[in-house]
Amino acid sequence: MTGTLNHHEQSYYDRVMSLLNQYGASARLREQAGSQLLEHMEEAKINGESFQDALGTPEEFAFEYLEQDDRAGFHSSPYSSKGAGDLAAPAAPALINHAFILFLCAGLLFVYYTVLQAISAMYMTTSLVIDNPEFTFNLWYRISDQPWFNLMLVGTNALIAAGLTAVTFWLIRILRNRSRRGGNGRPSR
Amino acid sequence: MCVLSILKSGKSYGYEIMKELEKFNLELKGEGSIYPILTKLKEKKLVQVTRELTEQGRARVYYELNQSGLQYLEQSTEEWISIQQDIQALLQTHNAWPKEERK
Repeated sequence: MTGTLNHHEQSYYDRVMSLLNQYGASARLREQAGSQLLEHMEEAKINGESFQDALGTPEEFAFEYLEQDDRAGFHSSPYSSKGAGDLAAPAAPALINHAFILFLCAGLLFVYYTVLQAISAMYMTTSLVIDNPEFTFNLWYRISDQPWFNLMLVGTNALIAAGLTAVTFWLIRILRNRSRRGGNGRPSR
Repeated sequence: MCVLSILKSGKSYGYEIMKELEKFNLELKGEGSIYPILTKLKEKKLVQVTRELTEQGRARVYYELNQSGLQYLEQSTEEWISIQQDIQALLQTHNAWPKEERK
């Protein structure tokens, strides 16, 4: 699709895409920005104008899209004091966001799995009440003295824990999107 | 609001809307262009988006005001006029309004 672009247009396009990617813009937004950018470049070419006159720098163009996507750290305008050139600064907000999500995911998975294992050990095995010197109980990977039953419980609990974690994230995302939509009622330009 | 008012006259595409804004000195240079605004209007479901082929065979994205967009435009225009009147009254009260326009 970008085959007809000249060097300047291609580098502008690449820079915008790279910034959107770097700051964690959604695939849908990247695709939209890319197609609109290409459309504008073609229209400007037909009208004998420079495409960049209306778009500004790649940083300015990318910033407007990122602000729309409510990316972390892009709620206030960079024009007020620093300028959009500072977009080139490290993508800390997106990285912190990803790290936090990963940490939360691992934490939830661990809690769900532990609770499920404890419930299974209490109600589905006799390992907590029968004293068997040959059996070493471990809440996370050995809750039954029967290896096949233990394997089945561990596998089932791991799957259920993963499912519950996914559902929890889905609910968090829905609630977050609802609160975002509710909070942004300012009129557009 | 300005973009929606342009679309009230009929469907249009990004570059054309931008040129229309420029006619009224509403240039968006240095503000990232018209396109993020159009995307926002689309996200808010205030405009209908269609893709049409030009005479040269290129695909062009057209934006058209829908019923929600029309309502939003009317509401925003009323708000804007009200704010403008309040500011004018304040400036006139404190003798800050340009003299030739004062009564």
